[in-house]
Amino acid sequence: MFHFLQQARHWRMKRELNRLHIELAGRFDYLRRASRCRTQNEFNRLHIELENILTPLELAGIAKLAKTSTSPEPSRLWLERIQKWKPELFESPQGYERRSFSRHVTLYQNPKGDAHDKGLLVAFSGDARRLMMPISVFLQFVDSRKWDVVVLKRGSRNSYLLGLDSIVTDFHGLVEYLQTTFTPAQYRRVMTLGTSSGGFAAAWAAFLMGADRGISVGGGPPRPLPALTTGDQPAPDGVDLCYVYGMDCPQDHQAALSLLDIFGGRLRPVPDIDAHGVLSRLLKSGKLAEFLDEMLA
Amino acid sequence: MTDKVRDILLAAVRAGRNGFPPEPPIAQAIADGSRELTIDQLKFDSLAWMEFCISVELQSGQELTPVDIDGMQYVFQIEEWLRSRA
Repeated sequence: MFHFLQQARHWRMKRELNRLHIELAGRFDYLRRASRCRTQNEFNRLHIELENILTPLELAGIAKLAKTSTSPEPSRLWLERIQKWKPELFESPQGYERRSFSRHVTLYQNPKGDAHDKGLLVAFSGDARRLMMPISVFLQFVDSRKWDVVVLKRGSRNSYLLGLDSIVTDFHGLVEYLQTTFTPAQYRRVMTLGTSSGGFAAAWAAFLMGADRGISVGGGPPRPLPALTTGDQPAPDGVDLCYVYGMDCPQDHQAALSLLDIFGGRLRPVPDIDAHGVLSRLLKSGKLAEFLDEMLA
Repeated sequence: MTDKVRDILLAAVRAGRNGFPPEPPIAQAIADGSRELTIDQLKFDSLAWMEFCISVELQSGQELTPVDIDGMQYVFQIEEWLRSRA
């Protein structure tokens, strides 16, 4: 009976998925949109929006366009700032293409290569709906020949635990949606990563999906803590749960210890960081590549 | 009685916190026009200040930027900046 109900839920979800408009994102006419901006804040608004979704290729395209035309100063400064963080982003961008499955779910995938030879990285963004830096900058550090990346952004109810708007209404539904939509089993390996408020979701999803690794960066348990279905047991064998935090950030250390208590796993303090934004600090100190190589190894 | 400028500040702080309201003591200090609440107490990073300033401009039409705030130490200075342009 239980199996039948599960099957029914699975097929219902498949039908829903088929109804979803799977959009292959169109190209942005950046210069046209920038030409409408009158104030610095309007430029910032446009740039934040783009930083939260664009692929490295799309951003490199904008940079190329900006070079060959008269671009406004805020555009030039914006691109210079990004280039400073990751110079090769504009020269040899990672080959991700972007498919939006909903406002809150985007797949970044290099069409070259087969899923069987790649890993699937499921990334739960934090409150700012990014991974502590522009999505394109993060992706530039992740080899598109080796990984497909799904980026999740929280819905209007501001909690992954309440599902995602118009898709699912709870966390188990969200995990089932991920499994139905992206078929993790076809990949060589699966990892989850969550920043800040996405950290707890990443750990729990890794647990439920039986992922190879779940990485929480600056994450902690939500309040109130939901009823977990982990059976009060440590993570299943083979799931490496890893809680990253700045070594000199006591609040995040405490939050990581709380996750360790709940799910089991291991702590991964990062030396010389006293702030919450571990990934952005690593980016600015030039140590992010080494750190992500370790995490995604 | 509500104060329009302080309401703008409260909404902008919420925007800087990605839609989450500030802790009650911070919210109260803004609502009261405290002269002791420092900019640092908001614990905003550069992205949060951008969101804050965008919200102020959307609500008031005044073009406050993160560069303007760089030179300030207290939240009431933002309030005075807005009042001087009202």
